[in-house]
Amino acid sequence: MTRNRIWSPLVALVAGAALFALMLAMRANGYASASGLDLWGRTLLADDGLISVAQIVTAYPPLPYGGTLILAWLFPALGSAAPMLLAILLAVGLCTAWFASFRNSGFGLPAALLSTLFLSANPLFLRAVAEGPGFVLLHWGIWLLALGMFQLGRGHRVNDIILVAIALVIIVLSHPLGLVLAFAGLPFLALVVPADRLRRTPGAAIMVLMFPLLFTAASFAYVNWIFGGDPLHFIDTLSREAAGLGPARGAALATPFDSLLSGCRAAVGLFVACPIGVAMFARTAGMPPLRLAVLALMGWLVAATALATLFGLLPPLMLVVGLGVPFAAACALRWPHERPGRPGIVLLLFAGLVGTTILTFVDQSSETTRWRAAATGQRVQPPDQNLAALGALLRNGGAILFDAEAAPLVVAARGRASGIWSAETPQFQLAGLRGKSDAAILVVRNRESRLGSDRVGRLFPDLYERGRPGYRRIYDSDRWRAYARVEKTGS
Amino acid sequence: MAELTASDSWTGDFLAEQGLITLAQLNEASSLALRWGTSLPDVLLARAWIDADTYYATLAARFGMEYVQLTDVPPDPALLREDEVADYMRELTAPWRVLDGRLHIATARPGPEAIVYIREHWGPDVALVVTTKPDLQRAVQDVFSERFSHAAVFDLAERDPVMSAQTVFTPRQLIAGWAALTVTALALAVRPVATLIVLNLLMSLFYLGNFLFKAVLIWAGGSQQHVRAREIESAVRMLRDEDLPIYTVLVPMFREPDVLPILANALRKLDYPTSKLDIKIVLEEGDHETIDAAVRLGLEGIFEIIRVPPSQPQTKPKACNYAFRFARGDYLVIFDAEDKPEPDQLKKVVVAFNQAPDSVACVQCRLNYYNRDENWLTRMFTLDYSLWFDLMLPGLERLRVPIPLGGTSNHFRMDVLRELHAWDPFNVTEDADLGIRMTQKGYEVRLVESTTFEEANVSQTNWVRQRSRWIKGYMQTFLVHIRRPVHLMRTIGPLGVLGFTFFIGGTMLSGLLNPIFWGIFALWAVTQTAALDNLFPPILLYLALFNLLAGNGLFMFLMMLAPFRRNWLQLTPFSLTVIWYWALMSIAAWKGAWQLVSKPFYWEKTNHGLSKHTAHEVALAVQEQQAA
Repeated sequence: MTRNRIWSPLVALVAGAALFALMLAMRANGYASASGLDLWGRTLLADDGLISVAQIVTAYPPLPYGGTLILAWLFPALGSAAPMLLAILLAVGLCTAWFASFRNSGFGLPAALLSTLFLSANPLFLRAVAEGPGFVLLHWGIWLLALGMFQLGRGHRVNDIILVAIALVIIVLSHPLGLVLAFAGLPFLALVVPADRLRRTPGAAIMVLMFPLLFTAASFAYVNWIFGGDPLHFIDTLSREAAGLGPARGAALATPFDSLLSGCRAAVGLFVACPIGVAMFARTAGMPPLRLAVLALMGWLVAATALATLFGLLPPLMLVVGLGVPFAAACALRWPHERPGRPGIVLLLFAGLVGTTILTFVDQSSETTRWRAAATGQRVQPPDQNLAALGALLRNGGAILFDAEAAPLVVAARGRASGIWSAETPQFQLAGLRGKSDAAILVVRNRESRLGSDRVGRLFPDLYERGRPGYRRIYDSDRWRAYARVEKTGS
Repeated sequence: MAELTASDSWTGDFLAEQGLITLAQLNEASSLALRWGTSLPDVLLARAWIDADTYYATLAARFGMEYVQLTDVPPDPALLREDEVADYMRELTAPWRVLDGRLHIATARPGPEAIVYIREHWGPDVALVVTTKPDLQRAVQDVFSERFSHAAVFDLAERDPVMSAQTVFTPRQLIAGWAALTVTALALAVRPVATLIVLNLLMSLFYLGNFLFKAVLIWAGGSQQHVRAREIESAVRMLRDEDLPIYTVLVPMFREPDVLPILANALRKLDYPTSKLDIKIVLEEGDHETIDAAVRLGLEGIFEIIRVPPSQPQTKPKACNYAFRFARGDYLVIFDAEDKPEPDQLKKVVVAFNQAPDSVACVQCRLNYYNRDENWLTRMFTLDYSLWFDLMLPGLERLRVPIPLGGTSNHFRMDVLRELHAWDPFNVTEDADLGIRMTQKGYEVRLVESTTFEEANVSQTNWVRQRSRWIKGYMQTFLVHIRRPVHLMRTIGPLGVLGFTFFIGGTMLSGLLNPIFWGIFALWAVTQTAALDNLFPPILLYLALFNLLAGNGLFMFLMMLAPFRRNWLQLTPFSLTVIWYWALMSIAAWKGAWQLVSKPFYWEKTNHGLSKHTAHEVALAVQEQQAA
């Protein structure tokens, strides 16, 4: 413990400074992830009271949203940097946890420092941090899950069950991809449950591991039912942006073949990102608990990739392959019988770093392309230029009737939520009752777009096509239009 | 192969030559004495192969000494010293009378060792008389009976009154309570809604702290347990019998004649030389049925029966306080009548004491149940105990929070027990209180991974009775130790105070508060009334909702974890029914709270022996005893 007292804070400080500098530089180049902007837009709406508290507590995924809300509430001066800062703080915590764990398990100082460096400087990890707090929380979840799974078969400690169970909850509450991950992981849990427990009481053994997840899901559904009137109310608030799938406009472009190819690439990429996992599988012949744990974790990640592909929920390659980084960290920590120098482990982590750096150039998704460009010092465009333009147009206006929850990116691009009459405001509800509105600007989504009508569109069904009397069109795209009231002249 | 002592060999041969025992009996008694690690005469007497009077009279005649029956001719009380009682009991030798200007010493183990001891202690110019072991023990008890009986009740209250629960509420506590009630009443009259919101907030924060603290405890307790267990196990293998100290085992009983065989059998199975065991069965003087049962079982050869004179309060701690003054061990442990300690428990504890610093005054072993699969209640009780002893107490130990000792299997250093005036007879969870008191006095409690199996309550009414006593005792303990908050903070530190508040205070308070919150929730769920909206402003509503969901979920999960270490996962599904168990706990909590006011020192007796398993265990024990 003493040996960590100085070095751990130092590692945290250096990692924090480096990550903060990198993120600021990328931000200066115009980079902000779609999911980060979505999160910030929703935070602005919540801060201004434009989303009801009921909508906040039923929002999914709750952990990054809740975390950002609290951070923005505690430090209002952070502004749009709040999601980024939260992601950095979580990432620093993870890097420090890696370092401290390495040291506690007997790594020498150089080996621990190098291992932590190769993990935290991994482009996949940096990409996850840039994506936002949701993905970093996923990394946390996988790190904890892997730790628990490695130990569970060997130690029979309740702490390892707690780790696995809580990690599953974190994974599910952090990101929509977590739902797929948790679902895909169920069969693989059986591989790590101690054999005697599984033989005697298989149902109960799995029940202990799954209970927190099931209870959390039931609780979340209950909260949705109370506040949203429907246990699955949260699905309405989900967006592609929030899921890290990139801006909604690019969604329809992928063909089934493209998806299959992406899925295969991601599955292979996991092995490239985590060569230490493959090596550990070979190394642990004759050590069933460890070998089964490696097998379970690798199988789980590959199965999750396949499932995500099947449901069309596969995020950009770098993000999904990045889940191999915390897995690699756990393998390094639980690697059997190695001297304190651990040259083999360090080399394998370095190999992962090299592999993933190459992989960075394979991923051609729009979000990764922007990230890569920004990271290499080029200026980049916003993730959804149409919505960014709409946000810029609305920046100075007020009395805007706009279903802002349907496009939080617009609010983020606008920089503030005040002046918007969103669906929860009395003005919006009054407009619904009267069938007309006094708003200065009306913003509406095309009902023919992939996501269908927004709530303004449902209030005024022909607004997108025909506009309203006394309003002129000031913004036009295939998804959104905005109309401004024509001011009457004094003549 | 071990051999009988010279004295025992000689005695055996002599008795056989006299025709008082057969050669077959001598052979069998010799092998039993070696197996049990006790003396040959003890075996002969325990097996009733020779009558005590005949044995001692013959022995006296052989040595040319007078044989006296101390029941008829008791010792002169002026010759006996209170501080030498342990020596009298250990050596079975005590001053009897001065006759013709010469001090006469009574001994129940005539032989070379006794003569050497007597000469060293009282000089060469003394005369010896022979008496029986039970007579000598009884005579010493009789001499000190009144003084020890008074001390058993009032020692702590007189010497350290601030630590005694004899005063339930101190004047300061009454004034503070009255002031709090008055302020609340005034606030309710002036600003009812705001006051209710504040009360609601305080309760919600308490719930939040309570379940977070317990989660942290379990995490802390789960770490590194196996490492310590392995260390102790390997140290036990290195122990030599001759290095082991004398160990006193106290077994307080009251009207429990049926379970005696279980106890006798379990104690005989202890992996500890019997010659170094000082087993005392502590019985109330008026409890004739248990005394008779003990005598019938022939326990007196190995076990000593301590008869506690009648006085109020008639509680287990008072009986223990009385009996421990006759103890001759360096360490002392308490077992309940139906307990089945794991055989290596005493050795593990000796190792733990050897490895621990001097500040460690007590070692608590784990408790669990042998009849866990009998019915729903025994399953829930097993989950509860597994959570408490296997997960939570190790967490308290790790975080250095005061540990409330469990009812049995707590092992003490005798010197510290004497220094602290032992148990508080006015506290109905005297063990929990003693654990906290020890920490306040600068001592520590450690845990050892060895289990004592007991009988779980099979009846819900019996369970409520038992639990109401525990909760009342926790209330007493809480009230005693918060009398001096600053002192408490100084002695156990802020984390200790926090832990004490949530662990002792939280356990009783959650039982009291749960029905209130359940009632509110049920009212809202059934009627969907808006009348409660004012009491739950948004933040408080979410806090309460979080507590309701996360808190209940967490406690259920912790219950599920409890049997994992012991591989009793068949109990896990029953964790889902824990709500009714909590309801029973609330009934017990309110009963305990009422009794704290109406009958604070009343000992709500738990009936043992109701389990089918116990009947089976008794039958098994009798069978094994006969076969031994």
